[in-house]
Amino acid sequence: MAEETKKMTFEELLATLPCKNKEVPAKFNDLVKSVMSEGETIYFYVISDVVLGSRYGESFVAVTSEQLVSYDEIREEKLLTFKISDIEKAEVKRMYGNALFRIKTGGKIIELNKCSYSVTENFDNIAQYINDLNEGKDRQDLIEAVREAYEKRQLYCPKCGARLPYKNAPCIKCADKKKILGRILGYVKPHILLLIVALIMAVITTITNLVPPLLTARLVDGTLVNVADLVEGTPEMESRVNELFSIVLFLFIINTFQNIVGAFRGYILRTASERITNSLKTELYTKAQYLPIKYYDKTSTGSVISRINGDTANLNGFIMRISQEVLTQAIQLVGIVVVMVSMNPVLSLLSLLPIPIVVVSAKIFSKFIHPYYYRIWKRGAKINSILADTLPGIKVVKAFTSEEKSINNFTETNKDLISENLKTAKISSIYNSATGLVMMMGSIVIWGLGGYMVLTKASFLGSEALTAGGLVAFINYMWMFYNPVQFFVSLNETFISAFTSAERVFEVLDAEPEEDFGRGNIPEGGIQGKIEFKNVSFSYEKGKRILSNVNFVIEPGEIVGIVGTTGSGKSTVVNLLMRYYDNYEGDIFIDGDNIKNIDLQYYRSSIGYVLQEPLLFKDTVYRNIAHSDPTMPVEDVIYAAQVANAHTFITKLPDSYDTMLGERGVGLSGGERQRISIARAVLKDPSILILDEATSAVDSETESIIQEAIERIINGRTTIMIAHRLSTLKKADKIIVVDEGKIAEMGSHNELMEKRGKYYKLVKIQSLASELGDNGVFEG
Amino acid sequence: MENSVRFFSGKNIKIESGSMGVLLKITLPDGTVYEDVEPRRYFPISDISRNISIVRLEEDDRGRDKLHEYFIIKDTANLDEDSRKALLTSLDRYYMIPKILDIYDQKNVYGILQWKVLTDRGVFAFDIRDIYSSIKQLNSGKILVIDAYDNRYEIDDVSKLSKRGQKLLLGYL
Repeated sequence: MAEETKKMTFEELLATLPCKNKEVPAKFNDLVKSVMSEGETIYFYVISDVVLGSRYGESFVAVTSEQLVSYDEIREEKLLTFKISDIEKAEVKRMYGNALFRIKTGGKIIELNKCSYSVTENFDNIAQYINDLNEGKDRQDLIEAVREAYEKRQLYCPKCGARLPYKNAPCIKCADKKKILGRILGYVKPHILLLIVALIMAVITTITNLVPPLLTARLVDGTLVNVADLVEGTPEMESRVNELFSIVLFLFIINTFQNIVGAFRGYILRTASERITNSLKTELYTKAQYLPIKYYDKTSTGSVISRINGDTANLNGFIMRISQEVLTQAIQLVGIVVVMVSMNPVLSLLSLLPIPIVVVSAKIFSKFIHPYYYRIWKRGAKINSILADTLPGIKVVKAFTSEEKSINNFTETNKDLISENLKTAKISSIYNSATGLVMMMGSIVIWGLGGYMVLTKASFLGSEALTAGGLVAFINYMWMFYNPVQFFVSLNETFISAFTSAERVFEVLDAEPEEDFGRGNIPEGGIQGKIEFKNVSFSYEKGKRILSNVNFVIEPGEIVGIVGTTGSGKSTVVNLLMRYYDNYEGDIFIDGDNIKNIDLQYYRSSIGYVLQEPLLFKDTVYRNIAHSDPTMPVEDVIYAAQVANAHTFITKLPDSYDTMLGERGVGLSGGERQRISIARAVLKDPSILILDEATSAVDSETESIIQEAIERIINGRTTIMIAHRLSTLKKADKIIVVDEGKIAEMGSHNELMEKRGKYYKLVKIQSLASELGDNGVFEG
Repeated sequence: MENSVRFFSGKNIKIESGSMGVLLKITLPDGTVYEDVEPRRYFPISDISRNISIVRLEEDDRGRDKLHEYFIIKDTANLDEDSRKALLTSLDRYYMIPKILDIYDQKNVYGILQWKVLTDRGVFAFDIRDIYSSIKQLNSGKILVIDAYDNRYEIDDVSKLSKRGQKLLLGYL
């Protein structure tokens, strides 16, 4: 349970005011103060971004303890003031891309300020405050509510004042990079030993990498020099041959050693990498399971999937780069520089000449090429979406003979993709050749000057005279030198990309989960099934009330039908009962306990929920039925299937209960899928059963099979049946008619028919439909 | 079936500004008068001057907006000058889709695109949260940009942006 916070006194609350959506320019503050009387306090500011002429400009509204002050720079009378008690109504008219804040006073509507959507909700708060205050509600409560709403919608970083990209977004400027990095590297900790071993191996191979060029130098300068003067069989010849074989053997040993160590290192790294990705993905997926439905209302499931797949892979790549390559590349860089300088400082300095060009051009190129890669990605995604739309929807494509249109669409997008690919390939080729040329020019200069130094035995700045072998080795080192340079040039981009992914991943990990999953009370003696809705009101979005003051009681074991037109609020009643949303007004009780106090996991496990569109998982029929507990005895699963009238058709499937269902239950008819989902609910043996339009998507014959199964399972359980077809409510003890979010009527079928209200009308409409040939009409 | 709505070409329809900026008084060719009605675009992005629906906004007993649709004006080009002006003024007050004339500045900070732009409504700065889906090229060739708060902006013709603006936009199309 949340810890109760001590309520502020009114004076303490006043000290936190005024609330503002962004910094208030001193000019605005002065304007408001100029119309205030003594003892008056400013409560709220809304700084708007649009003026009345629908242009961007300066305007604001301030609410004080006494009045409403409105300023608009293009209005004839720029500053307007109204006594709050004189305002009959304040409201925000939402338009397209903008909104209008207006008030009604003295029977007249006055349009005060305009704003873009970025500020609309602040105006909503002000309007609500004025209306509620004039209705006599408690001023302190109202101010606190507005203050809280403002804080939740913090558009500006409270620390540095920088603009935030969306409500409550973490401030990019203030984000502690070290903290983020620390958090990313936190995933390394459990695998640190593996990574240290891999790192040691990398350091060893990096150092051994520096040896072969020295050996080749020895080969050229010693072993293979002046071979024309050598005579076969002489000790000199023998010594040269021995040396040759020693060097070759040494080269062989080094290469073999490097490859063996490389293979081990590769395996160790892969192990660590897989484990890190796995722990990241599992943590993210686990969190995604416990996020409330309202999170998914605002964040697309696709976006969460891309975080679980793409962003975790990106983070893993970053971890590997940071934990391994930074050190090895640094060692390589320093090692090569030391060896090169010790061989010839002058040539070393000269070989650095192309570096600034390579570094700068790599920076420019990466910025330049990035948009092209994005364009390729976007076109690739478009092709994927065409495929995802048209291939699974091939029946529709054929039915509307739109094959040609689909082909043209695909061909055009593909052409576009090819064109972008070619453009990118052209730019990349030019860049690669150009940098290659610059580096080659560097080596040509070294060949020229180095060759001259070899020939003339000249030395500069006290360096030793260069030998032919030394020159070859030097040029080898020079080429090796460019790799770590390029690595460090691109390191910053790696950081940025990883931090972006980290932010997206941590946003999910840090999101508020469902509050009391596995932490609430478990009622003694289990759930009996008495349901009570007491003054329940709810809106998914502010301003659009879906349920208004809903009250009803369902006794244990009662069968209750909920009817109403589309959008009347029937399913919302179930959404609240399932605790998919907790932010409603009023209370819902089960057996007298507030459902918010019951352990969520236990509570949901006591409810069987059969949806209109049954969701089957890509798994066997058996595991689909035993979804809540795959270790259930086979007898129970088969019994559940029998109760649901599913057993007979399952046994006719090629692999019976082992039949693998495709995505969303492909391969079964709608009725068969529904019967499996009913069997799933039966197996749970729930105290409360909810059937949400369970038979609306099937034909009459299948409906009667399902109906028969339903009648069998509802016995002795509190059952809520949401239905369009009133014929499915034959067995209902009570029918609740919901209309525009309110309970319009409640009673038995006969009572409601006698009343001749909404229910009567619905029955009559369906009877008429029946006469015209439709099926499934209530006969009562 | 829902009630069918009548279409009028726009000829011989008289439109006058009503009591508030958005509200209109419309007289049909047969003399029927509609007062305090508002115009709505069927195609607010792709075809702003045709298929204008005329509606009245009413409040139900719970203070919720209910829209009552009367008829549709096929093409504003068929209206007389004064009527067209009154209609466009009303539409202009209701719809705010600033046209981006140039992109002055752009920063990509950890995946959030921050733009400072010149629009036909003045200079404005906004953030684009999901760059992958918030900058779209429509079939008409126009570019639709949606910011972090669901405000919409459009770019009629990319080639009319400055060279720098075109370059900044290039990567997101």
